[in-house]
Amino acid sequence: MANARQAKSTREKAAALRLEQERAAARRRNITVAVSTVVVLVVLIGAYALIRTAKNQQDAKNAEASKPPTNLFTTTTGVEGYLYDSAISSTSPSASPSTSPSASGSPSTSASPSGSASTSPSASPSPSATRAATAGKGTAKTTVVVYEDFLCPVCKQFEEADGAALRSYADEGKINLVYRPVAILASRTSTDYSTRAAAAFGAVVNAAPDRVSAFHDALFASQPEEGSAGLPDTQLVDMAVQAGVAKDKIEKDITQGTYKGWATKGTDDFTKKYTGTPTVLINGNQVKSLDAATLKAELDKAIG
Amino acid sequence: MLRRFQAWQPWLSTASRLFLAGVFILAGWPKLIDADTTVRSVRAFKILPEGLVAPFGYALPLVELAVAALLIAGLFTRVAALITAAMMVMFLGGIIQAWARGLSIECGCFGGTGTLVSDPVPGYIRDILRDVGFLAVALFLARWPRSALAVDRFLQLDPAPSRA
Repeated sequence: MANARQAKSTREKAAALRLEQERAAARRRNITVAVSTVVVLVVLIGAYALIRTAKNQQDAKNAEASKPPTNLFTTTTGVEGYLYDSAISSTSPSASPSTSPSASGSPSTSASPSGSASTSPSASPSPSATRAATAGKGTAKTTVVVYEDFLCPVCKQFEEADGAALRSYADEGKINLVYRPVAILASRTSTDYSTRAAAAFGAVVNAAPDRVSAFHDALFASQPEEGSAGLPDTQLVDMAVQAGVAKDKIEKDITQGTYKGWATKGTDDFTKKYTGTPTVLINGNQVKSLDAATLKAELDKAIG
Repeated sequence: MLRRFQAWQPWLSTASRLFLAGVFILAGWPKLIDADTTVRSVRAFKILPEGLVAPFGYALPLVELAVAALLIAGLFTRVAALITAAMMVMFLGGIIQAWARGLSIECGCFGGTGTLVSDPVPGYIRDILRDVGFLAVALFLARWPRSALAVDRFLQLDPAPSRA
């Protein structure tokens, strides 16, 4: 009787022990499977990330090695862009009446915008009357860099509100006004319009610096929407021709994307320091708020 | 009351799994499609050294989608929930430090640029509240990982009900 009870309890103990061991084995197996799954995932994702990073660095290197446009202006802080010069610009209607209406139309409509208390350039008798001898030489002690993406709607608004005021400061010889197109919205069109437009800008700088302002304004005037396909290269060529560039000097560079590397390099450099467009630097310092009044106050402070 | 909770808890956990998976898919997919923007967005937070920005930016969306896949399948639910919670803590830390350092950025949480915004504070508060909500759901799931319609249950990977 006692033996039987003892035997039973031994059996139960053995059964319980076996169950416990099975559970422990199951737990170990689960942990092994979970850990190895996580390890495999981490390895796969890590490999992908490293490959993409390597490709990214290669692209950056290619962009670095690519040919920049001629006629670039380099600021003391190392920004390579287009130095605005009204003497060779065709944006003001009175300065060169021969320009196409689409190019000359946009700057003159920008005389109305809010806030800018300064005399609007197109209302004054003639921009050349107020133009200082030092304008557009890059010799002013204050340098203003404007980073823009031609796809960025806020950049268009910025140009409409502040573009004319900036140019009149440049005309008066108070600032060196430098445009640096970037392509931070490259993925917002199916055809990478941002990069193509910035590269086309580079092509116009290279071929005809006196037509850059007109082309710049035309790009904003016919800005495509984010999420669309963007404008085709052929239309960019047409716009450059309308802005007054000889077709044979520009067509190949735009359709072949000769200055895409320059556009990409500028974008890479830009995004390492700044997060959005438009970004305006006064002597290398970012202007925090871009409403017309703040910008004017900052400019006047810098000019002294 | 307790019994009712026990009856409902697996389904509540399933709902939590699917909810968090949905969040990760909505957040991870645009980040994967637009990887370069994601990298810029990571850079905008100004936490990681430059060398790590790109690998992190490329890996992040895949981690999010992988965790989403685990959550949908209900595989290693507790591990997935803990990873989710850890990621939420990381995102919260990123947003809070951006706020504290006075960076004016958009979080880029669901893809997007991490662009400059003029008044970021309402965005920061909204993002923080949202991530705290996600964190709460993830912690619930980590505490009660047993759920209906889960591979864990099929493979008997569930912790024993008495101990849950």
